[in-house]
Amino acid sequence: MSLLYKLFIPIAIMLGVTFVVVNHISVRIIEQAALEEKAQFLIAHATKEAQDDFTDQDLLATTPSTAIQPQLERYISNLQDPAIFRFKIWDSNGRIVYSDFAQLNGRGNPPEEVKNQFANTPSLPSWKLVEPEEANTTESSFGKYLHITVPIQDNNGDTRYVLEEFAASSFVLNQVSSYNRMVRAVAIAAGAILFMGLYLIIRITIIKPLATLAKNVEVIGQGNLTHPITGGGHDEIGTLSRHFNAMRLKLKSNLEQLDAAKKDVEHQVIDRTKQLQIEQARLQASIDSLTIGFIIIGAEHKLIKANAKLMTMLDLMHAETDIAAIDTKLEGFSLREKVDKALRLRKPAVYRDVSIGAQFYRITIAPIVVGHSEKTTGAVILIEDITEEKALERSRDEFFSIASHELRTPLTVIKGNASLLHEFYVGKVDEAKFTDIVVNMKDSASYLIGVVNQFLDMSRLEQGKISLQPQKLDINRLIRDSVDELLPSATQKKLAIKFDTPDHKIPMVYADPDRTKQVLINLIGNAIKYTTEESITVRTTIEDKDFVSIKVEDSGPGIPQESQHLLFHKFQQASDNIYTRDFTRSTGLGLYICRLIVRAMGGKIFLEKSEPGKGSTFVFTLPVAISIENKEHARDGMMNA
Amino acid sequence: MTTKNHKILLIEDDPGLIELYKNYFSLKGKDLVVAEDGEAGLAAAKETLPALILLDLMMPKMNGMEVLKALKADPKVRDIPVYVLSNYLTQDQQQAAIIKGAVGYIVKSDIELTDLDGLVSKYV
Repeated sequence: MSLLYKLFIPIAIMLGVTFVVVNHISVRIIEQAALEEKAQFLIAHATKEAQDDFTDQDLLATTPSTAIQPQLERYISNLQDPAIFRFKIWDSNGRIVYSDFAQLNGRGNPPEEVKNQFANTPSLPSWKLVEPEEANTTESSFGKYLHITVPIQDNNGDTRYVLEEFAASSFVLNQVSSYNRMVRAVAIAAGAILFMGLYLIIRITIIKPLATLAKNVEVIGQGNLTHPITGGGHDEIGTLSRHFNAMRLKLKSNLEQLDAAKKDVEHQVIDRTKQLQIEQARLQASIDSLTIGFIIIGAEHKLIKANAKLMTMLDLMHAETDIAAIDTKLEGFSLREKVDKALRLRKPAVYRDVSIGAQFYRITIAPIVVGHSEKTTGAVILIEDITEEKALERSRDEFFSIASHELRTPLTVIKGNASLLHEFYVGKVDEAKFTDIVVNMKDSASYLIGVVNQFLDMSRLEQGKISLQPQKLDINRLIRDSVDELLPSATQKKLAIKFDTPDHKIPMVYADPDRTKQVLINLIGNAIKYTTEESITVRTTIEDKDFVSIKVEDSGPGIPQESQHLLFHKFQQASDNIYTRDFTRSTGLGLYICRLIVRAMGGKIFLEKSEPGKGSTFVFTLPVAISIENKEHARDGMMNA
Repeated sequence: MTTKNHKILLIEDDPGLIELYKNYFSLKGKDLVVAEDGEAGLAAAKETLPALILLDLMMPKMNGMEVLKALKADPKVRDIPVYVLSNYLTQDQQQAAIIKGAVGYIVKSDIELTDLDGLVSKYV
């Protein structure tokens, strides 16, 4: 139901009700006024006629009833009116002295109004509306009756007779009803005009703008935000329109922004996608260009990516490659089991020297852990063919061994012959420098043998070809032996070697005696080499319950801070630069070999302190035998070293 | 060792060393017999029955260890003391040599000739 109906049905009902009520009230008022007017007219007429028609003589006659009769009749006849249909005249004794209705003559029981006229002297005429029975008539078709009482007074103002008359109200009302109808017609017409006017006003000022607004809003509702919302003027609908319009503009701008943002996002997505493609291409190119086999697998060993190198390395066909095929190619390695293990431990695993057929591989399995979570999404597997590397390594090792062997034999011969010359021919050759020459030859040959021995030692230690023979060992005794051995060279330089050990017993260490001695000889030998005066001190201390430490302190020139990091490295001497060769003859392998040995025995070797001009302290540690026995795995580790 | 003589048998393939030892021991007045490979060495040992054998390990035809094994398997030469000579011996090799019946081992590059003479002099 449209708003118009919603508005106008109640308005019509209200107008109708108002009309009915107003009509009813106005009719009542008009009728009342008409009745009042008629009554007043009848009263005035009766009062005037009474004054005109009666003399005091007539009224004051002591036996009036008959004597006054003609005057009464004249009076009544003067009062004739179409509305009046009944007259009575009462005397002060309550008798009816005149009636137009013969049966009533003489009988008296005057109504209150009549009695009151007599009681109140001088009295005033009165009127009221009564029901038909009160008027002693059954002619109800006349409706109600005007009951009028008029006193007939003498000159003194005393009431002598009372006129009682009944007038049918319908006579009066019939006269006003046509007027009423006119009024009603006018009222209906006015109402209709009002209704129409109201309709038009509401239609023009409310409904139409609202309809326009609704239409405009509907257009917006359909998505067309460019259509402006106008109209309504400076009223509430206008405000509503403006609000709607503002809302439309806001919505439009928001939608435009949203659209722009969407476009922006789309662009970004396109850009990112492109970027991703580039990254993917780069990744693919990178992994394809790798010289090692590369595999990414997802959950449940699903192969995600494998590079070209892997295919050629394992001689795989691209189309049918999956993890099972790779696993088959790496027979005996059981790749999937190893992957599962790495995923379980969530740690990368490296398998060196995986030998498959004639080839050697290094296989690295790195689980892909997502963030810091417990989850793994697969693994990266790197497969390197290290066959050539191994071959190279082997030939290098062999070169070292062969070179050392091959060098040593002739060197031994040279050294031996020099010794022979020294022993048997020195006195026989008549040349002062002969002895020096022979000794020089012999020393150089010995030194060269030492160098070769160090090379071989180093090579074997590096390759783990030297199996150490660790045993329970009294380190103090070994130190004393070493010191004794080196004492001649120390004495030669007028140096003393002190040995300082605590009063309490140093526990037995677990170490290879020959190799430990080699380390001691090297460290103490170095100390002798670099110290020119004062003394050298060797100390043993208990480092903690697991280790004994052996310190060798010299009072030599010390090692510059910037060179200290070079110690214990291959071919390094802690001298200022490689052109400034140490004044002592040294290969620079001694400390490196010491480090290889000490590490293989589970200890550490380091420079504890060194101050220029004040000497250096070298320390190495060895595991305590009891503590080693408690750690079987450590022993195994050392045996394998 | 019923036929005790003063011969030293050197089983060694390097001509330089052979020459050195020959010269040295002749200057020392010792009787050195030389065999230049394992097979020849084994034959010479059986033939000359020396007081001492100096046995190199790395040799053509038959290496030192095989020769040592053969020597110790033959009752005729079993009791002749054998020193194993080498350029470089790992502890395993040293132990293996002792287990197989050598009385000792000598690292040729390390030992001084006088020390070698001292060692040899105990047997000849």
